[in-house]
Amino acid sequence: MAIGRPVEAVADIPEAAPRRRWLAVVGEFCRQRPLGALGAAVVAVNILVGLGANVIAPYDPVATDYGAMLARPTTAHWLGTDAFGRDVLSRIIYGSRTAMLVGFACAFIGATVGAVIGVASAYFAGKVDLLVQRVMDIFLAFPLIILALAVVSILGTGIQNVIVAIAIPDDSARRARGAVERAWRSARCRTWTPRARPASGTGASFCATCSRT
Amino acid sequence: MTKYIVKRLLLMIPTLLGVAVLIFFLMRVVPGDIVELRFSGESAYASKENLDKERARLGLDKPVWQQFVSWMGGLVRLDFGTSMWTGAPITEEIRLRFALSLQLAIMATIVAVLLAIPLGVIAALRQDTWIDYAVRVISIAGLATPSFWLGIVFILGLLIIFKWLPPMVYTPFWTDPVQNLAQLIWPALAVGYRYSAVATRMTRSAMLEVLREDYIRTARAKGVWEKLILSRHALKNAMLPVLTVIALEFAFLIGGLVVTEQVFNLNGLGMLFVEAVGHRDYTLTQALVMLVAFVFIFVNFLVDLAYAWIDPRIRFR
Repeated sequence: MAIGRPVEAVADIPEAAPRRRWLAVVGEFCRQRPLGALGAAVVAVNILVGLGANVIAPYDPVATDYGAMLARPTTAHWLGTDAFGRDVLSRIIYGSRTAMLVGFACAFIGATVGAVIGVASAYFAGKVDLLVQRVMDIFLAFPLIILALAVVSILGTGIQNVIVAIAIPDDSARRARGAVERAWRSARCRTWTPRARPASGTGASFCATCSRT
Repeated sequence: MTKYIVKRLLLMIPTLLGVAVLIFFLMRVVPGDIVELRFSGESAYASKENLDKERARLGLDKPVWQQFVSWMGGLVRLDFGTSMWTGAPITEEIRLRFALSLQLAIMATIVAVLLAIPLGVIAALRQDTWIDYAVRVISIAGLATPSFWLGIVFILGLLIIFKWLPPMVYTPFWTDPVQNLAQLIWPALAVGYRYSAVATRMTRSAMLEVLREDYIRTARAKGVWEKLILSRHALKNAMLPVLTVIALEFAFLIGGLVVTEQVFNLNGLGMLFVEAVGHRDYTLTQALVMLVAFVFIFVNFLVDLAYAWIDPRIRFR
């Protein structure tokens, strides 16, 4: 996000106390990029909650309690229960496992494959570039919902197939290609400025994965 | 320029052809078939002969390549045929729903642009102040909030606070604009918020990048009025990536709002998509995909033309 911010400040931390250096870097980061630190904290909490779901969750997420269906929040069920009497809090806690897995896997696979394709397309240029771009156009123009429905009905439901369905239309390839192009163009007309930031695209597609419908 | 436009229009053909091939064969690879689905409830009629008769009626007994050729022949003449499930002409099936989806997408875009551009510009001008942080928190929250959830909150909030429920039956705009807008403004706001989040972030980072350019300093040095620098020099150049984001999102909205449509009881293209695939209605699904793909490609084409209009340095060959 932040462009041209003084990153040197992080590098200038004295080498004197090697044991405290790691903490100092973290502290410096929190002070310089409070929003980034907040975001990292949210993701870290989500990962921890997901990892320790079986310890933290007060109930089994699929255990039904027909005596307490659609209950309001009480001390026994902090967030109440759903139509089958399942504890909502426990379900959310277990849900972060799926959310983290799908989110990270999609962003990682989409960005990695996309970056390779995009950079290769820009590097080889010419006919290869034209062909790759046309194929990318086809996938981008293809409605996401159909691709997802098709993948799920061919491969069946399940987390790994959801990941495939969401990762296919990732537009990292286009971003990566654009980034390389821009870098080349600025290399030709002035001194090279590495302002290519496909990473920010990855972050956005991660968020989009979680909220788009 | 004319040459460029013609070339771009011609380049649409291979892309659309690719989409057509992909959807045609994808639908045939997906397991399940419309005839079995239709007769599954009525086992009395599901004899082998009846199934075959129905398949023959729908033309599903012919070899796949023949089906493909006849479908492509229809596409070229812009004849999409009839829906396999309802038997109604596809243009009839799609027309009203497309009008609804298009109107919703346009309204959401208006909401998003009205929010995103002022917020993004202010955030960039006041970088690292509390204003900037507030805008960034609002836009991150927008990315993280599912729009169907926001829609539910809107409906419940209106009901509880104002004891008023937005109309839940669709009225076309030309029949009763007030009724129509009273219904569609809520989904437009819910979707527009998420949409504006993407655009705000892009506006902010593009403005920050442009404001560091040499020509902005030159403009300031020669004493151009600051407001003019912002509107004419900076904002105009910063709009390029924002336009791309808006166009991508707009194209997505045409066919991609499934849950939001369900929340507001809207019969838009998103719901039709799910029904069509669920019924394995090949002709309808194929027509829908071609329509959405065409909108996507056409919007992108318009954006590229707008690029040249906004930034005269861009000359297309």
